[in-house]
Amino acid sequence: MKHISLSIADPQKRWRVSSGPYRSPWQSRGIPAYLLGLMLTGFYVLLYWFPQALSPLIRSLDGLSIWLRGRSSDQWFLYGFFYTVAVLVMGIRFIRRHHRSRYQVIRTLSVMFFQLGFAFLLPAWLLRLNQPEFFFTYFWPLKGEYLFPETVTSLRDSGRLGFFMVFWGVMMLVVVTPVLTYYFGKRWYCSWVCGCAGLAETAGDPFRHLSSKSQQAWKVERIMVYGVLALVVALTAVLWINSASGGAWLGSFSSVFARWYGFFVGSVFSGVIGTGFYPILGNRVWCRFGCPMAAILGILQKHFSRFRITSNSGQCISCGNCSVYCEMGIDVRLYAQRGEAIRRASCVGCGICAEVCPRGVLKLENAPALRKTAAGGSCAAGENTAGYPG
Amino acid sequence: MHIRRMGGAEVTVVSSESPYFFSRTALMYVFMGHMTLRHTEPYAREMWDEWGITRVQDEAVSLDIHRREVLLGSGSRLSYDNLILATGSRPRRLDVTGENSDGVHTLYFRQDLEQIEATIGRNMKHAVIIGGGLLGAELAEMLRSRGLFVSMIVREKHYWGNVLPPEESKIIETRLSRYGVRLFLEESVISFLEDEGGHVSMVNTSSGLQLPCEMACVAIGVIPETALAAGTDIQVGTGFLVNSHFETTSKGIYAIGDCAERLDPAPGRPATESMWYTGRRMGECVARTICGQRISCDDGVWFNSARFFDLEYSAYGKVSAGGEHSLFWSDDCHERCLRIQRGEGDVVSGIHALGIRLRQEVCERWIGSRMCVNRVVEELQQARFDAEFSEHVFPSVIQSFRHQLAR
Repeated sequence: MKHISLSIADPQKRWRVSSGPYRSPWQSRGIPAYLLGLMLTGFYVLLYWFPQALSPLIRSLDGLSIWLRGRSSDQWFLYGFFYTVAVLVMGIRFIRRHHRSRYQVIRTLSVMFFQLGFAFLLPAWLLRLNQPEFFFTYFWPLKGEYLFPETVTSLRDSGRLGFFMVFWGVMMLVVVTPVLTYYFGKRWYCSWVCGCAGLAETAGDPFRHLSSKSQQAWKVERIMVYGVLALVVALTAVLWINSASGGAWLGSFSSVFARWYGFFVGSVFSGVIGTGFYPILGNRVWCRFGCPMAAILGILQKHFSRFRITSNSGQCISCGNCSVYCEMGIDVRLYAQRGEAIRRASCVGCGICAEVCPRGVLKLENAPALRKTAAGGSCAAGENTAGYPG
Repeated sequence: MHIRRMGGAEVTVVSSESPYFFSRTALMYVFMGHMTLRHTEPYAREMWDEWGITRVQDEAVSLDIHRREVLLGSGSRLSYDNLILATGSRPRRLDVTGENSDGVHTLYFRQDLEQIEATIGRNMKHAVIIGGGLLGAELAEMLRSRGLFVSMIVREKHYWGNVLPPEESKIIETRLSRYGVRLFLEESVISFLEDEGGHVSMVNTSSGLQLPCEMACVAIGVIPETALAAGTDIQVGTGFLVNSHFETTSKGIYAIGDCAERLDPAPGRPATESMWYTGRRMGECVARTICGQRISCDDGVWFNSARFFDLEYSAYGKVSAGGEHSLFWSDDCHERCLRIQRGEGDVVSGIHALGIRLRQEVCERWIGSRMCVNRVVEELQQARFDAEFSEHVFPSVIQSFRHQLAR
């Protein structure tokens, strides 16, 4: 009898099969996840309201800040630095995990590039040149203040570059956004460009499965995301009315409104909850429930876009991987198992559902719907359209 | 659900395994920690009440066809007008000595996961999988995700050899070994040895191999579960015998899924098919029959899909296991391939893809309309379903096929 020793069968070089997040307490709302969440929210609280507590960290970046921006570091430089490092480091992790999918690799390189170049280096360089600090990848309404009268006036008065910045913001919103969204869906922004997405898709990736898929969450989502959009539209209108009437008409109402919006939406929602709660609520809480830009892009995507996720007719086995890993809480399986295309306002086109599907059921598509050719018939002599000898 | 939508009859679902319908195919992902058991339920729990479908978690012990009642394990009875038997199947056994030792498992029921989990909890290292089919590959992936040393014993000369041509098998074999699975082909198990504690310790094979292990999984297929036929006039072959409307020989009783055996299977199709897709299709058909819209369940092109670790496989129509009379392409590093079977009159009769995603709707249309192979090759791009930016293999596939056609 041949006695086979099996231990030699497993050199470490073999391709690894990774076990899933539900086997890690960090990723399945275990105690470590809550501690991490507490740490992150704690950091945001200090950053927004008690920055002096972070001063040793802030001071340690003085050298880099002076070199990049020509001035000493402050809390926002610290934040930008941490943010960018997180996107780059966790972006590399993401690429290693998904290296077999070119879509994922290219998309992740894109968010890393926009974060490093457009959200970190370029604004720093502008400051160094004594120009206004400006983020070319953020537009109204996500960055509401870019169309507030105060910002518009100060940019316009700061010179030709400032004027261009105002023009850029308006053009991106009015022309570029609808056109790109028509051809590619909201993903061109929400999973290729935006900095919030950059962090969510990289640092937040280990927590994507935690998003709630319940019908209830969907109801809350629709009320909140369009609610925030309505708020920022109203706020912008009020500010302009107030500024046009020289403050006579609304008094201090508009500035109080702006302060409260900045506190609740800008700081608490997008920062403390949006990012601090990654390990508890998933990585796209802000994008899904709060981002007014996502709301506009979503309306365009749902009604005026070629983008959809096609289901491969009957090949779905209802396993549920697509739904579990949808960071936006879309119950993808519900559509896939009926062979229906998915056109949902909230879909950011990250492509993970198609990636985790074990049966190749899903495909992100922008192309016009497939043109059906006439049925084949037999192989009669004239039927050989190939033009090759049969 | 189809019945509720069409007819509005009262529907009661009896299952002892789980109070809510779940996707059995997803059990491996629960084991691997990719999801929780709750995620395997394709429909939200509220939905069952919304649809007015009653669920009974109990075992159907026997049938009383004269009084039209189902006897349940709890002793209560359920009466019916129409009864659909979807009892599924159970794992086939090897019938060799030692098969009942601790640590010898099968994977079918939710409860099997708990048992495998308990064995793994014993701090073990080596597992042997018996059977080279789809479930075998799934088990291999599951156990590899926990870092076990996995060996597979396969009866055929090449992997899944009763279905796949050798070239396809080769690609799968390569993928399995890359993921650290050790394959033993043309082997079968003759016995399991157990240690003093009654736990499996060794697998002996026909050629004299002795594989030490602390766990063994038998995955050699399933047999229909037909125990409910006892004491009734339902005729049983290997499964409940049914006609093309899934009616058994007993009036008002239907059988679908793994447990059904067709008296008149469609040409080229086996009488029993234990497949997710077939079962789902049968469910839709029987719902229509009961609601008075008798349709044939044979329209539509047969298809199947699977995954071997990260290698996706899909099949449409009929491809011969010998691989003869077909167009075949595979890439240089043997990671993917495409095969088009040439049927009578040189029309396309089947398509196999490994590592390439195809659009099912298009493949079905080609095969269903018996399209000429020449034309399929020229229109091949239409079937492309690979993700954006993925490597574009179709130009080289088409070129290769044209050359093969010209020969």
